[in-house]
Amino acid sequence: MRRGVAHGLDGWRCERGHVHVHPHEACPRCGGRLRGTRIAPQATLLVQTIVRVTPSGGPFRLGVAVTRAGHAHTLCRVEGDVRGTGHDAVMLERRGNVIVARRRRGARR
Amino acid sequence: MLRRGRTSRSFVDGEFRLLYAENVIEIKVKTVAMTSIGRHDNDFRSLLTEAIRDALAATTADSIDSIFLASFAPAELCGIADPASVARDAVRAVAPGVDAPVFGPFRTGGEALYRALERARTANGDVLVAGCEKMTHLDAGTAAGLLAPRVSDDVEQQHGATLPALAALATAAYAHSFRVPVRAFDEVAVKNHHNATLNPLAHFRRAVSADEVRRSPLVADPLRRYHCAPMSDGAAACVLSRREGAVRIAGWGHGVDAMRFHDRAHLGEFKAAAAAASAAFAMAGRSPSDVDVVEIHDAFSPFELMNLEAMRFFAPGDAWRALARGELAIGGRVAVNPSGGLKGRGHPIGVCGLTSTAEVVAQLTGAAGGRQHPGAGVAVIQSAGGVAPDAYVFVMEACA
Repeated sequence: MRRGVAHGLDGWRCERGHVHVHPHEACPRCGGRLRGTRIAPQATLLVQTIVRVTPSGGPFRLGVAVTRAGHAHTLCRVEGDVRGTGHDAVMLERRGNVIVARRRRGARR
Repeated sequence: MLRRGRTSRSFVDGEFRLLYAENVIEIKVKTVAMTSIGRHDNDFRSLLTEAIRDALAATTADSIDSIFLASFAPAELCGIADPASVARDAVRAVAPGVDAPVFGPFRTGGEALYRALERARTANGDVLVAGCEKMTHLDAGTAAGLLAPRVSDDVEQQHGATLPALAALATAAYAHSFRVPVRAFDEVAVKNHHNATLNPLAHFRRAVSADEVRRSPLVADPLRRYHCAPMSDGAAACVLSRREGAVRIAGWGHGVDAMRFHDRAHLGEFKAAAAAASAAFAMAGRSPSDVDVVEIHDAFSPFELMNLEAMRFFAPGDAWRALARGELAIGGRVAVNPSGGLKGRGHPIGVCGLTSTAEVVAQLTGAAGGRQHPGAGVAVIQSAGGVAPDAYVFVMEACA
């Protein structure tokens, strides 16, 4: 097993190598059949927003990240000291159905 | 009048587009009507009936071949499980002899219009397109909760992504990619509110300053309350005909993008609007430089700039500069949202493509009053929903 992947995310990969963090009926990029895989959690946060008006109450940070391995895009909750407008390096983790992005240890601010 | 010498290379809709481009078929807007947009005490049924009555007043109701209905969420918002029957009843209340089939409800006026155009090419008579939404009897939080499953998928809901939150992500990606200053979005809201003051049917007939927009509460950074279109009640209807009408629908197109926002290749660009516009312009034999008036889906103010660029009116990142130079104002290079757009005129979700049709017909026939764009001969309507997973574009021309 490749280094880092053992602690990675559950993911889905099609025959052509398109990787997805969330389940689909078929690969949204090529229509191919998907099977389970592990994705290394290192990712880049592309963009984030602070959502202030929410049905659930308090504000939270929402972003879109792309994994370094497989270039899978995912929506994520953002925690910690992450700017989000400068392509910050983050680590992704799955908490139930939610993907959480945190600043990668040792990454430059 | 038949146009000559225009052959489209677009085969998005197969043989029909070629026939149309070779002037075999022409479809015109025969009549159009809309209620005022805003808060109404009237219920869904009476609003829809009012718009249909006005649209059929100037035509022979017996010629109606079929009815296309647009309403985004009548079951969730009004408890109407069978809106097609309500639409049929509304037509019969005005024209008891009409026994036409009802198709829909479609999610937006643009989608209903697009489907109705397919029908109009082969219909024995005219086609009625009607849309209605009744929302303001619910508070914003309740309505947002009811609509959430309709505007985002399960992954987005699990992450708590509301529609404004996704729009904010798209806006942030756009601003970052093309170095567009946030103050440009304030100016879109200012322009559209100003235009709405000239529109007697608009929801908000009050001008706002850029400072007011900037001081309004943050909804999702960088979007503020005055960047977001309101919830509105309203209805609109139009009759499509192959025989008569003052405005010709010269081209139309549809485009799609990933439903899940994060699955898109470019977060700050609207691929669906680009594809729809490309097809519509090819079919009409027109280009953005021919267009005098544009009615655009500005559910969030930055979307106006993003959609203009997607449709190739401006290079990516350039629309805000044109706005700052006054080129998007009434009387400018191209009047964008002279009705006030969704922000100023109002946002009855499922009706939007039809309210835009009413505005464009008024502009092309010189009946837009104080907001008339001088010399308007070609207009474009762009209609979408949510964060634009699909979009419809129509090119309309004044008949000579």
